Amino acid sequence: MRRILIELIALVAIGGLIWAAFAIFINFPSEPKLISKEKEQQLGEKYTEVILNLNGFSKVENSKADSIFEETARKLRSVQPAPAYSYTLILVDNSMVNAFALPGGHIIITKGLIEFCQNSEELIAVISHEIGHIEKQHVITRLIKDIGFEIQTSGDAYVMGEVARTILSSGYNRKQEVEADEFACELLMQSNLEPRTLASFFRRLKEEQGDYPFEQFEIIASHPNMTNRIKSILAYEVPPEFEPQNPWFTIDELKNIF
Amino acid sequence: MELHPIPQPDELDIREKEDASGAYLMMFATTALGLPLPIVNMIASVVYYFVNRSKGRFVKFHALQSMYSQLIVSAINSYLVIWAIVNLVNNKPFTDVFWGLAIAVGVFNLVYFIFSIIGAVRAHKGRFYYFIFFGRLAFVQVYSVKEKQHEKPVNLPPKM
Repeated sequence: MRRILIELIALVAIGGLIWAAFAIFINFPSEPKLISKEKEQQLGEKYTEVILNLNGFSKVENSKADSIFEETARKLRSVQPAPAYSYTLILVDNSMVNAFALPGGHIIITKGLIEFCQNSEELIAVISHEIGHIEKQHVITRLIKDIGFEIQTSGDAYVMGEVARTILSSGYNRKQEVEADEFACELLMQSNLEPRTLASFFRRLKEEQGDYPFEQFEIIASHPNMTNRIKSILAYEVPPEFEPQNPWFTIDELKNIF
Repeated sequence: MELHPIPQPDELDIREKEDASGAYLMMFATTALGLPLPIVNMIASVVYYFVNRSKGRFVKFHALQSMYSQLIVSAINSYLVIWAIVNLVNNKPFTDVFWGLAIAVGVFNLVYFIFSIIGAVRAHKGRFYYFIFFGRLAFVQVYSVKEKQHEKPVNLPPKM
């Protein structure tokens, strides 16, 4: 019987040692290794160019829109304690209600989104959500995870076009969306804007486009359970003394461009 | 410790050898289902033992050794699968501790796989093969003469 006991102890000890050895001495990255900011910036510029050459994504050239977006990017950056990126907002002539972030701080906003927004707070809320994805590094993490760095950096025009289409069609996971929502609420608060505008934007989109309106709308595409997200945003705590200000532009200033 | 007689290969018939060997081979038959659902292997080994335990001590030993080792391996596999599911459902990260266990479990399964093949071949030749710990445990349980078997016999021949 003693031998059985010794063998049992040996077996447990060997198992424990193997487990401990692999757990301690080998590093398994839970997230893919990210690339430097400079490389991400280059990648972002490259893919922005490719996307703007796709059908239905032509850039809207308008000095008024440019100045509003530059001001928006600057303000949303300046209120953050330690932003890691500069943001470039790009308006494209596309009727879909959509906005999506690209690597390196680029955010594409569609004409459809501008037309859908009832006020500038809603548009800023959506932009803040996209900034959340950028600052939390969801964009580059998703790309490396889904596509792989080697493919992304390929110079082949065909590959780049396919990668760009993949960027447009793939979504974030639930955790990333919730993180981006929280980030957006925080950013809106810091900008003296009503943080719960994001919830009313989601609700309106849901009401107007039915139960499954989100297939083409990146920021909610991967998550049909919008009600929970709306509830979470509405539960965001705003101090009683908080008084939201008016944004620095009106939505009509942008709508009048078209 | 007093033992029951240990059979030699030429004392066993082919049926006993095949049934003993089957205790290990059965595990491979259920591997396809057992990978995502380790409980399938667990149930299969328990059923095999209870169906075959009356077919002689040699068969019982191999079936019991296979069942014990399968129970432990399946329990560890199940733990890993449940951990992975919990992480996926709750969107939790897979830590180094998890991956360390995953590799350790992989090593255990590989060792178990190799031992099972050797066990099946040896059993088919009518020979014993002892896994670490499980082998001794099963052997003691099957071949040791228990106290009850030493009790004074009740039925005796007539006095001459």
